[in-house]
Amino acid sequence: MSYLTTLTPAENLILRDGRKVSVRLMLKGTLMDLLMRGVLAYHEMEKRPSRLDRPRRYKYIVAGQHIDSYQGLPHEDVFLVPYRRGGAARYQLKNLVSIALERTGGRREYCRSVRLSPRLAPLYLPVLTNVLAAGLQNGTGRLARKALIAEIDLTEATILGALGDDPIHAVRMINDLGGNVVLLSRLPEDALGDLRDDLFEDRRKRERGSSDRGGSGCGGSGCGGWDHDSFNDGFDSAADAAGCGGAGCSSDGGSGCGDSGCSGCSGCGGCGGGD
Amino acid sequence: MPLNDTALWQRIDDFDLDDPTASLAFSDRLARENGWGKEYSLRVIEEYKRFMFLLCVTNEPLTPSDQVDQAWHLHLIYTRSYWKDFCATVLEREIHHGPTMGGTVEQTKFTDWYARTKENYMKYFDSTPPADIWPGSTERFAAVHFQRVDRARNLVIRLPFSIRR
Repeated sequence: MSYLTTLTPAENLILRDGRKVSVRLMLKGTLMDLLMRGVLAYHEMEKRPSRLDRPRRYKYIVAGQHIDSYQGLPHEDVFLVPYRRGGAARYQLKNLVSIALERTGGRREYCRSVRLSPRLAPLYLPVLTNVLAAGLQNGTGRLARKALIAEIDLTEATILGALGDDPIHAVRMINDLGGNVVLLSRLPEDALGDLRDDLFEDRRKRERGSSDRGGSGCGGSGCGGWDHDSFNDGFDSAADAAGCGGAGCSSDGGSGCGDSGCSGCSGCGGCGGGD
Repeated sequence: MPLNDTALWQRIDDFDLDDPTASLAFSDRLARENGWGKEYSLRVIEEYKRFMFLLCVTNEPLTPSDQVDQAWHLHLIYTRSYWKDFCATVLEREIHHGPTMGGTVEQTKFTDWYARTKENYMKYFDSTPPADIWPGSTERFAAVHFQRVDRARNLVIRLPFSIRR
């Protein structure tokens, strides 16, 4: 069994990392996975906030072509529910990350929702699953963890080798991993950035139809203009702003900023002091 | 929806109140000042846009829910965004905000306008206004006593239901 093509990124992360799992990385992998499967789509556009401002890049996440047919798991719903409840048709990336953080219900709750998925639950001791945030793996779970780590090592070695010899093969392997690419820590920082054009050219050419996880690839025009570096920057700054540190996240929804103060101009009196 | 109304709605829908470079964006401030979550704040902004659209297409006085009104108040503080970018460029008209002058006559008038607002909402958007943002008239116009409180210096304790006014 291939864990990297069968389980979601969040499931694999919690299986591998246990109580040390990073909620931030789970969310990042989950969103990336939904984008790469065409369930959601990423769009950037340049707009002026006002006529006097310089143009700025807006990073939006919109519903992808497969959103209606995709059966999301509970831990994926933090990104999907906002689009399914008939609200706004698009969200800025930073706002969607904030919404997802709110929807996790906190680290313990989110870890539990991942662990209780039908594919992971049999790998954990049922009693302690409800007590410990990261749960306790049973014998089968410990074997699965070892197999996953071995699979990650092998996949990384294969991709690293292919990057020099057969970049197209490397691209296809990365494409097939979807958001599970966040589990590969030995890939060079800029590997995905350098390959991003190839990644999506290859993705457009191949209509994958279905995958082991029941999702669909994005053939045709469903994927939008993906820019891995831009997505990474956008996700990381959004998570930072929302108070989501490297290892865990809080979900109080506040920005944590003590911002106050206003300014006026052209004769309209500004209000100093508190806002 | 008539074609020219569709074009207007498209412009309103495209208008983004959140500056992507701001660390405290409009929706963050709206959430913070009202004790709301981010998702709810963004939903209120969506409803605020719908309300402004209705003001433009119905040409009759309408009344927002308190939640939508809070988004409107906050937008009015961003004067350049509100008057120059939103009213002049997007709506192509000036939309003024008129607080109640108090009294039972005003109360009746606003209650009626609120009901008309929700009727127009259903007519133009072919959907029921979400009840958690557009509550019933009784709740909307119940006696309230809001006051600014600095929560960094004060502890706010919720009154038991039985002694709430």
